[in-house]
Amino acid sequence: MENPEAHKQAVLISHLTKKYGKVTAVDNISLQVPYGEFFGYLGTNGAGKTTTIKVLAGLLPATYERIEIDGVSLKSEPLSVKARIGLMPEEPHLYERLNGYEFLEFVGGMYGLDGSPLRRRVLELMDLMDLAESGAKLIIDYSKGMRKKIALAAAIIHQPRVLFLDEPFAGIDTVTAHRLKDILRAWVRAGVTIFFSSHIMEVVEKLCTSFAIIHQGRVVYQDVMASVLARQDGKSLEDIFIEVAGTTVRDEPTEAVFAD
Amino acid sequence: MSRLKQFLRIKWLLTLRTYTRRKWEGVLALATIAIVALSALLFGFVTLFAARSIAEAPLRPLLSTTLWLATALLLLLPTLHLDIAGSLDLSQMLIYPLGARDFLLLALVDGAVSPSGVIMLAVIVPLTLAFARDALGGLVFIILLLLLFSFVVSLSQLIAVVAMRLKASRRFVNLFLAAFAILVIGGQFLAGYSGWGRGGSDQQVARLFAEHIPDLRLFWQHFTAVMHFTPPAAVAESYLGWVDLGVGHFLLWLLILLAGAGLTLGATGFVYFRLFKGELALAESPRVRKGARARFARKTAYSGSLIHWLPAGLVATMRKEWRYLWREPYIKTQLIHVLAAYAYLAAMLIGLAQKGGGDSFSRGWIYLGIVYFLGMFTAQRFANKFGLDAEAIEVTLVTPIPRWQVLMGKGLPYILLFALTNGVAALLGGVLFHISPLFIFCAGVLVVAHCPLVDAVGNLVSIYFPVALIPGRGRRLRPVRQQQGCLFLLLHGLALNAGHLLTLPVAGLIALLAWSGSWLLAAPLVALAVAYVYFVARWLLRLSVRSLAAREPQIATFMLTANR
Repeated sequence: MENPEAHKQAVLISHLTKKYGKVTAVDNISLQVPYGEFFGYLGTNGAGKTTTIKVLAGLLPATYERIEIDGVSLKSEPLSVKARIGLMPEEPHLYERLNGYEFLEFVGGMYGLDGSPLRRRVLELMDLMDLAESGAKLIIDYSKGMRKKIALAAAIIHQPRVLFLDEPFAGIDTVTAHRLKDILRAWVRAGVTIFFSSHIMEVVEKLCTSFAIIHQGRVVYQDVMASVLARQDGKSLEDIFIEVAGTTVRDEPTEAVFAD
Repeated sequence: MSRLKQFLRIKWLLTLRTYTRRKWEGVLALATIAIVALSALLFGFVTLFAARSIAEAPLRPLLSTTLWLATALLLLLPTLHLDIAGSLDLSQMLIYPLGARDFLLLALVDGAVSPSGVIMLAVIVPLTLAFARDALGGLVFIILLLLLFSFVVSLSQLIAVVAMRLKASRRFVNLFLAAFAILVIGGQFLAGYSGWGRGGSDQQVARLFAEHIPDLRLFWQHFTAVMHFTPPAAVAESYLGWVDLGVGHFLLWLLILLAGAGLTLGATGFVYFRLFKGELALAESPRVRKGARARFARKTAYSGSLIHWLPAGLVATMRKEWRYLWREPYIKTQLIHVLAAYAYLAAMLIGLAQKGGGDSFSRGWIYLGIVYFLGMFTAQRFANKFGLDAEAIEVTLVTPIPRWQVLMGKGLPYILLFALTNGVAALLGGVLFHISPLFIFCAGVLVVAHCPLVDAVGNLVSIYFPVALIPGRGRRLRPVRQQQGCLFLLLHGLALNAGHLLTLPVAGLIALLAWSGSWLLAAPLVALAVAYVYFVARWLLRLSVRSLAAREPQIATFMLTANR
């Protein structure tokens, strides 16, 4: 018997365009991310990564033919989509006058969790993020790294099917980043799909199973990571990125900067 | 030297750009500085005229008063312009290889190269012309004025740092708000009492002051005696001593001036040295409470309480709003205004009771009117439900919580709060001023009916007229409207007041009950009123949920970009 889930994609985007006034931030992109992928969404600053993620999370209006997350249409069932996803924005905007525990309790409540299961989950996540003892501080007093950690904890509190992470490792210390990478890999093995935006190629190379490169609002390259790693021409992901993103790299020696 | 040159350059550029970022701000700032500088100049020339043309002019008080006023002006300016990050945050200079002395020197130059310096020049020139009898006298006078200027600069820098530190302290903000509340509420009470009291004039307030406040003249004498030994007065004494009373007098007062300037410089040096060493942070360091995890784990679950039966999203939103009620200074400020309204209305009632005018029936109608006004004062709190969330609204809108829970969760804490406070105020007012029980009952129904209707209209106003409250200078919140212009303001105001119009049918039913004077009509009329409130509020909530679903991305976009 055929599994009806088999044809569904975790993320399906068809002809998505987003304009800010006269500026086109995302230009007619179409993408498909199968279930269980650790999908890297790469691009230079201002390429349209964050805009795409915000549209997929239902936070930005845009024009598109079809967007489906976990098989659910964003257009017709936005709340159902929101129940299936977790979002960690690049710059987390948080309720700063709540403390860490209160904030996670709030977010858990917003996903319908309550009572003892919610409390257990909050404690688990605060331990995981190494925030347990600073949890009584108001978020307004958190450092940048702590804010990132609490935002990530909030994104996963309800164990979403699809997780959108916008530059998640920027500002997080090495130990926590290492721990998070292990957790994210384990989640992907468990069937969670991660849609991950970054411009740090080393991290993408290590974590992602497939990727797309967006440049000036258009998807200009899409491939699976295994084929990049198996390339015979010795080109790394960074080389491909620089090649397709059309970034001009200066060839002049940089030593001159440090010459006296 | 090059360091000082660079510092002066960047100080000049940053100050200029602070004032020219927005055109109207620049014009306003220039106008303010020009008015202050011209006033100082005018004041200096008036002193000059008085000193030169009036034979028996009281030179000593004239000079010391002029200098005191100039000093006060100069000290006032840095407190009005506390955004040191906007011009030049000296704490940012700490990353450079500067010594402690260099740092202090930059702090003093920072104070001197400011609008204050321009104003000091405007004072120095006419004063020197007025008081310098000869070249040597003029030189001595200018030196004394420069000493005074150094005192003012160091004191103003000290004030700027202390004020920055105080502003960052949550305890200070709370104390400030408490003091503000007492002032506002007291002021409103006096205004209400003088307006509605027995005499119907300000005489009672004047009598109150005369009875309870000690003789101001005595206080003034003590004040001037102390002021006599301060640096501005010391400049006047010292210089006039040089001219008239001999070197001994001059040296004595010069010593006092030097001591004052030295002490202030020492205190400023101490504070800036601590800042330099990193021992004084301009932001408040958060309290770290140990055992946070254990405390959270020990907390009992909701089970068994009434709140357990409510939907989780509604409870989460209500808890968040309730916590913000106690932690967000902006909300506290709004609540102070509501308390001020209580004070005013309480004073009105006291005044009316003392007047003894009218029978209990007509007093009852006035009382009902006052209670209705109480409901109106609370409307503002319901009309911008997403504003305070600003960019953080993203956290709420990315969740799948049914939107009626968001809207109700944001309104219910305030409905409960205002129903309770307005209800208690109405009850107390009614009992204390011998209002008939039927009128007190009517007032209670009015209070309970008003809040849900105002809240329901507030939902729509919040959705169609969002105003983001964005942290501005010193984390003070500034409102950013989705659209600018008079039309937005007009429609916003009209929509806001629609809630009060919707309460009119309830008010009509209540008025009918009060007019009939019969308890027999209470049950049917109140049932009608409750049914009306229930159906109208429910209909408006459904409409709001549909509207929010349609406008959610626009609201999120606006909130996320309002700070740009």
